[in-house]
Amino acid sequence: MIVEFLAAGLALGTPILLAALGELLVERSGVLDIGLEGTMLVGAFAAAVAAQQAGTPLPGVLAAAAAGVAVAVLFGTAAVLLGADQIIVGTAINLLALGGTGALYREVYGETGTSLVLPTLPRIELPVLSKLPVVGPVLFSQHALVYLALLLVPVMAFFLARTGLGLRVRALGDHPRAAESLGLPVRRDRMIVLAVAGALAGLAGAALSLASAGSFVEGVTAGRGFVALAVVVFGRWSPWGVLAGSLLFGVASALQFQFQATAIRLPYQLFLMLPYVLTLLALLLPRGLARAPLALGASYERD
Amino acid sequence: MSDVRETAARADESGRPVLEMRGVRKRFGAVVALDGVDFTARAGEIHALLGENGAGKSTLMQVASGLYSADAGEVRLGGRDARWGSAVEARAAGIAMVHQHFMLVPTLTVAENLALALGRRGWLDPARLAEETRAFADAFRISIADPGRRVEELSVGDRQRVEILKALVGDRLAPDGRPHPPALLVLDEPTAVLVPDEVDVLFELLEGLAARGTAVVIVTHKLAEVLRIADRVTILRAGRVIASGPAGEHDERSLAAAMVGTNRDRLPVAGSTTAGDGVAATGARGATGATAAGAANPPALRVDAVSARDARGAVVLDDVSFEVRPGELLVVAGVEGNGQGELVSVLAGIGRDRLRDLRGCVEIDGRPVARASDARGAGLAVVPADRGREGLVHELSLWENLLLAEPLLDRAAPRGWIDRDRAMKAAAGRIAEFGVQPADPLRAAGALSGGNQQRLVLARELGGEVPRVVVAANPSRGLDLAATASVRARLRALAGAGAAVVVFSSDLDEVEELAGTVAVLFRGRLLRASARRPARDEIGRLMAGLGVAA
Amino acid sequence: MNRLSALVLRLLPAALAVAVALGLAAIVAAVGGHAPGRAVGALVSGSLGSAENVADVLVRATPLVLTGAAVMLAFRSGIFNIGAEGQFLAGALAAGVVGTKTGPFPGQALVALLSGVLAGAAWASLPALLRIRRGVSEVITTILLNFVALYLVSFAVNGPLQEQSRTYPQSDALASTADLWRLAPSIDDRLHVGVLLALLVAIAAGALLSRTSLGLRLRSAGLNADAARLAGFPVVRDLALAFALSGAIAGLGGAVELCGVTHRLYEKLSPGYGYTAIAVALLGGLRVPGMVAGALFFAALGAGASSMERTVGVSAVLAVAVQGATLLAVAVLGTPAVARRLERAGLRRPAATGETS
Repeated sequence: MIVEFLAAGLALGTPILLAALGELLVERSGVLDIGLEGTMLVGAFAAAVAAQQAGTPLPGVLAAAAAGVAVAVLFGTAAVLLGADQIIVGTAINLLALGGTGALYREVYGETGTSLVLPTLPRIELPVLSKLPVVGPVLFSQHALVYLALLLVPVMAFFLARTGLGLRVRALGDHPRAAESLGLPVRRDRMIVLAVAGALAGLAGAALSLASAGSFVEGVTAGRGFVALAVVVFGRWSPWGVLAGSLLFGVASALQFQFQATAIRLPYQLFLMLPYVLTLLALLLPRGLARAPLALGASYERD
Repeated sequence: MSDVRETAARADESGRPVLEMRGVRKRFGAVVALDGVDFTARAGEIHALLGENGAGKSTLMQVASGLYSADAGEVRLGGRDARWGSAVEARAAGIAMVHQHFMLVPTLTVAENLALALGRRGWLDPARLAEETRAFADAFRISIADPGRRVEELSVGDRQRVEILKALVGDRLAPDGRPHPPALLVLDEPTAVLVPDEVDVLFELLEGLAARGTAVVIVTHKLAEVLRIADRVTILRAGRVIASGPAGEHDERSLAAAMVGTNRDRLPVAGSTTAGDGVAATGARGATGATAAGAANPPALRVDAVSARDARGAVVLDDVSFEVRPGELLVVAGVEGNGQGELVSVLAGIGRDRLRDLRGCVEIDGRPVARASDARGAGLAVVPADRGREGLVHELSLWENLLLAEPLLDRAAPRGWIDRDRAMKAAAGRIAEFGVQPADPLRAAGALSGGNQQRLVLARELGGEVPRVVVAANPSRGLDLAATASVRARLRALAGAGAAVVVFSSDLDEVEELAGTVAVLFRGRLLRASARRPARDEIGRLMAGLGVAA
Repeated sequence: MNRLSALVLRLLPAALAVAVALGLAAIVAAVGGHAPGRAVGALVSGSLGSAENVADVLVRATPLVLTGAAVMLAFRSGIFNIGAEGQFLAGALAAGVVGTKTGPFPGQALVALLSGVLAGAAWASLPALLRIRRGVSEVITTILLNFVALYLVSFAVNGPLQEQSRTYPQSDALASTADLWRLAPSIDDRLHVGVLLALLVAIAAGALLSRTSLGLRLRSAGLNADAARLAGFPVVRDLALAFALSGAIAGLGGAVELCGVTHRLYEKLSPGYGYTAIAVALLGGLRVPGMVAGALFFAALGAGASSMERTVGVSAVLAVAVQGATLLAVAVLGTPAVARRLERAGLRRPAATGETS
């Protein structure tokens, strides 16, 4: 029972984790992309269209990543290259994505709203581990994006702490002028980071439409992009913290489904609220924002 | 280590010109920053570049290090023509620069900052990075803190040594991976942020570098330091070289005279007024001394034993006391960064918001000033040191900015409603009077040039009825000659009309022209001169920290 | 400066918005195999085709005028309130409690609106506290609170406030004394007094900002606390007040929508008014006339899109994409790089906008 919970939590937390890891990277480079929700949504839509056309999930995954990159590049062109306000551009991206995917969805799949059945990502049983008693079949029989997301946590932590490029990303976020004084191209580097994060947000969308939901409906992300934003703050800009936050959200969601399935009338909305409330509480603590990148959200202009 | 061999090899070349600049000109808009400057830095020497604020020192070094390009003139490095496309190119060619404001990433460790500067890629092992950092530090004989500590945890002196190490290592690793000292190391005001012990450590370090053949240039305005460490000195004033030669040919008096532009014909023999070293006890009370106004007149502004620390815990104001009577003009001379900004904050009632351990008291007409509204309510006008940040709201229009003081706003809107037409008309008049360009009251203040922003602040603070107390920091900064003269005349006139006026200035011409009682702020202490109106070079010496026990 | 070019510039974002709306409609229609011309036609006639349509647009514009005014007040005061959505919902929830759990009594509608105002202000006070005491930017905190409000409403209509019959996740209908007056029942039954109230509040908010000493203090405190402090203004109080006023106006929007239009509380009460409000306010240059025009434009777009959906089959959600595209265009037009180019072309002068970009 508990193991199943964890497994469900893992699956439900995966889209959050993927998106939040990308956002973590972007924020560590000094950019606040609140267009994450929209980027995920476009990814989910692209995954649905491509997977449905191809009849297999893989093209969907690739299309989602590509679409995520495209949206991130649009964000970056306005907010990083042209220096438009990051918050406004992010809000615009969210509206654009919600309206655009919604309208196109109707055009492509008809207005009747017949539920779209998509080829889903196959479960992959990890050798040895999946044979473990009790835990094995549940925890180690997930789709590929779950493993990818989990693998990315240590990779991201290692990248930021122990590699030269990781240092560059952190310098961009904490002291872009120092980076510039060393001859590093601040805006170009931020665009690259955005593109990587865009791909991850796209994959997060694919994880939604090709696994968690197995379908696409208008606004399928339902605020998960914003949860991912909250998780980055909650996790104090650390990949491990982000993992904890994502799992927390996943388990809260799993509980909610559990409550809805059984007849117990517990207010599941309070569980859905949990990641937001916990993040707000974390911010209320002294030094709640101590780990935020110092130049977060400020557009960079040379003198 | 290998540096011994290197030292021997390079010491032979000592005296060879490394950087040669001939006839360098640079202008910013209408301002000529450099007016045909010649400058030579030789291998193995420590060369002090001396001058007042705005004399062109930093500009000259920024031309040398590729941040600016010269409008005219020649820059040669190691005998070859040097035209840098960027600061990075200059650095690759062997010019290392340590800026006054450190370019270190505070959240990275010492070793990581170095790795970043070296453009290290791939996997970074903290232990190996630390080892490498220590090896570099040893090679340059720089003692640095634990390479694994984050820069934000270090003292200012430690940070500066990391910055110097970063500049030295640069990307100038020889093919064998050994550090290769730069041909030229420039340090901009390196001692400004250091405590005396740290200055000693820095100077030892610089002497060591020079001994191994690097040409070291320090940009400074501190005379004592120049005489202590420099082999050669070049003095700039208003973009021209006033003197250049071996430091041994100078003493403090001649340096001070050259730096502040004492007119020897006009002054009596420079020694006579200052020979007895007219520096009074530090932290002197009642710096205004005996005034013509007489004691019968109670002071409008009284400052009693004000001390404070900044956010980092350094003492920025140290037992400052003075009084200013109505009709009196006190000029507080001093090089910037000696507590002026902080003292202005305290006088304006906002000290508590930015300083720690604030003690002592400020009174206007006998009533204590604890908050800005107290000060404003008591009739204070203030021209802050950082007009762009403290004096104006950039997004608001000119006419709105002209109301940014509690009593002015209350007067313009007695019942809460601003009489727009009247405010606009008043603004237009004020803008014209102070020559704010463009003279469009609806324009955003942020769109004005620096000089015009200064005019706007002056127009608000000095343009209305006579305030009870005026506090002005560098009132003529950014203004042209005519406007400068008129602002100074206005400050004198306000005093004449009965205001108690305090002007902070780093410009000796201004100190002289304001013709008020003079005191000097040095390292947070208020120093009294030998006379109410001391000679120019005495002020210069006090400003430079001469005769003060460090 | 040339008056004509100034006018062109004023109208540039609006013209752009209309062009984007019609263009996107045509493109999406074409993708779906519909006649682009018919889609565009339905979009226009559905919004302005009849008196009934115009009344519909006015009712739809009301929540946008109020949330738009909330965003305008915040942005001009240097506060990035992305939380008008949450404040709107908090206001609606409070009004819903008053409307369904008390009364009926005379003046109930007024009490409901006031409780909406207070709830909106309260909802904005946590981000204010976090910014003032902890230096935490309000961007993230206001977004987080949007979702807290959303789930709170969801919880309420599934739990304590759910209708007696327990059939749908919605509240009972409000007591009749909590309904807002109809302005002209003979012409259109939907026109309620909130339409006028919204306009008045927006004008009052604009006047407060531009014409009063308090407004100047509010803007100074948010835009440059250092300068405001030196001026002797009570910065902390002013900043908190600006947050609260912005939240109060958005909360009023939620209460008006509940008492004037929906009469019941339910989850999807707001189709994202608080986000659209950002586009509304910025499209209007953060000034009242432009903002109201922006609200009318997006309301008309929504009405037209509904009609387009009914008659041509192009999804009404397209209107949201138009909001996004417009907002993006306005943001890019305002960047230093683009602004410099426009200035050089004589199309723009550096104006005092109070924007925090």
